Amino acid sequence: MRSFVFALLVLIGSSLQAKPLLAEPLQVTVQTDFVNLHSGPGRGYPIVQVAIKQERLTLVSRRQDWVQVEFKQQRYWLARTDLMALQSEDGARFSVSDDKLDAYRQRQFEAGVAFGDFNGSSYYQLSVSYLFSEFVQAELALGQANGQQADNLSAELSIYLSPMPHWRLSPYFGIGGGVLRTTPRTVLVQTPDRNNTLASSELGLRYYISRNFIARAGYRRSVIVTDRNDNEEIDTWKLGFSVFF
Amino acid sequence: METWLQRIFLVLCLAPVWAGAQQVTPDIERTIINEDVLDSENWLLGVRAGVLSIEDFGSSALGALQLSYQINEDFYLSAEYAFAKAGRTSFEELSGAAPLLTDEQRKWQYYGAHVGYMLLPGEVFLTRDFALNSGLALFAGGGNVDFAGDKVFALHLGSQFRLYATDWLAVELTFSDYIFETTILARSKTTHNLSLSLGLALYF
Repeated sequence: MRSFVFALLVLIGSSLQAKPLLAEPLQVTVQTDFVNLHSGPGRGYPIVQVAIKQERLTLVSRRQDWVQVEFKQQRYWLARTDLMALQSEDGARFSVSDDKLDAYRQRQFEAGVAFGDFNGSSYYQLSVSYLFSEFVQAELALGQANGQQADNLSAELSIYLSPMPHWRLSPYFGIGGGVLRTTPRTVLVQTPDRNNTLASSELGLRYYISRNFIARAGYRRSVIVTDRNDNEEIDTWKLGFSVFF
Repeated sequence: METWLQRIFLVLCLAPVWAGAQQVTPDIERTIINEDVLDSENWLLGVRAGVLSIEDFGSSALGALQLSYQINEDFYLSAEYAFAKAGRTSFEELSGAAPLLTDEQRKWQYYGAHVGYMLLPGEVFLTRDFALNSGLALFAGGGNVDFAGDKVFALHLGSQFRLYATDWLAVELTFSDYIFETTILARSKTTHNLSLSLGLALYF
């Protein structure tokens, strides 16, 4: 639980870091015949005002596909694609594009969630990664699986290699290690928790969706080092997505 | 004769230069602003309180924290932590027998994540001339329920009605169902635990 909260804090922290430090309201003028101003940031909110050519707007902030503007001392919302119709005081125009493939290739941090199957039980994980270069990245993943016989909590540190980082759909592979805490699910007898060492290898695909989202699918094979004669082997399938900064 | 010929050559030689001089392309670079210069407000932090009906254990007070990230105008992702404390079952009340669970085991906790979809964005008219933006979202997700000394996977389904008091502050009314398996009363069964809560959320 505490570790999940920590991972969440890291996720928020890194996103705040990605925010521009200087975000001041920007003065612009309308260059097309008119732009529509809505009452809220979404498709359901009506057009309540129209700004015509050469009228001045102040851009305040951005929320998803909408930009909050100040026009005649009132606040409205402008569709993000309408930014193309505006020009700043020094004659600069906006570039609006969802395809941030370059930013994706230069990303440094990734935070993600994944759901899947851990040897037959439902599994989910939170992860954060740091990219040393476009080819190499280190990942810390915390996973939890609830099964019929036992609950498992795992923490693993992995190194992944992406041989083709420039492809939109890019394969990766890697190795990792960590600990697995197993809590047997018993009703009558109290059995102690077990801590085991875990070594894994993973093979998967990463797909750049749009903006700062990446879809990810992977197969992980882990060896659990036990104190019995045989080591256990576990297969994990997972599907998830991550956000990069 | 010779000067006449020279003139023809002169005209022929200068014609391309003259034609080229007509096509002056303005050599001005247009500056491009990246939309990232604008401050983005895609995170939403919500706190809410309400009532949770834990199956077999009566209704109790619920507190919850929710952190959401708006993917686009339609979809959002949320991480949630909720807590409550279960009451006594009817069996415990009536039989006068020893309680089924200890005080510590009665603590109900949920943490998980869900994806939401803004189904009905719109406006609500509070008076004839005064409207506030609103939205009804549906969500589905899953997480962990820690209850009665057991940790189980829980499905979390529900809907959230959001009323925007200002552009950055919203009042939320959430109705949801936590579905999970319990084995407390000997046999394993799927329980539906409905909750209704009211809260505040702010964008940052």
